[in-house]
Amino acid sequence: MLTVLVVDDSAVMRRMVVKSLSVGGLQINQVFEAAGGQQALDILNAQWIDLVLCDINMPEMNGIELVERMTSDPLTAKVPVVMVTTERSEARISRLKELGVTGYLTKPFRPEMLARTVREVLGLEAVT
Amino acid sequence: MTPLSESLLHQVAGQVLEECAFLFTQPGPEPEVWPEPVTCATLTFAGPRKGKVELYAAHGLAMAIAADMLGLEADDPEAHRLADNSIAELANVITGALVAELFGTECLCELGIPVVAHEAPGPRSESSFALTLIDLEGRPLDLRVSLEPSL
Repeated sequence: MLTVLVVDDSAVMRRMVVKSLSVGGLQINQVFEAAGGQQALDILNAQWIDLVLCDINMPEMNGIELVERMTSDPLTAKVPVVMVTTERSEARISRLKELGVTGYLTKPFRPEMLARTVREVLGLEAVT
Repeated sequence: MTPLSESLLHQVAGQVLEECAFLFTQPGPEPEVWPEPVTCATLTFAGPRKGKVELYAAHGLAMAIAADMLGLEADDPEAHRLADNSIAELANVITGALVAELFGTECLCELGIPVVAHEAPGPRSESSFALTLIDLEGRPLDLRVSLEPSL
């Protein structure tokens, strides 16, 4: 059972991500939602989070800045992150890999694609 | 750079609408009158060229799209509340897919944050590409893309 944090400035996309995790067969214990980077950091500092699903293109603090802040803090540096984004730039993907992000999914996505990416990042067995 | 065309707009927007909102569309005539309040989401981009994407939908269709994206009944109050946000998110996803087609993925292309307004589309400009998509129930969406002149 996973506790996940979904970070996206779009309420619709946060809801779609949560729904897709469930449809994709992942067992979710608790979901936290953040509309921006600072709110996400506040949650990460207050709660145990197994996985962060994060957009890049957000106002004030974008997803790459959030991951940079996470990796510079020992408390959050090891939390797995999956980026769920419209961004396809190879330079951005490369920068995220440097920061240790191993999951990257572009919108639009199907629920099974998101679930597969999450399983790969967390090393979970696939549902057959 | 891939040339911008109506067929490229249809290919990109059609796929996004199908995958995000289960909305199947075909190109159709531009409505003479938009009968309902209309949601417009505008998003800028800046890559090898700068430009702007505008997506228009009447509120009834925006509600239906929100419901489909979230797995709700069409008259669910949550669909009404998130109707504008659903059009903004579709504009965001369409723009991300479109700039990748136009410019490729080797260059950086900064996307703006979608801005929502309530206004019907004005007359089409000769300097922009425009496409009206009609869903299976005959409801229109208008997609407009303008590119700034290259330097």
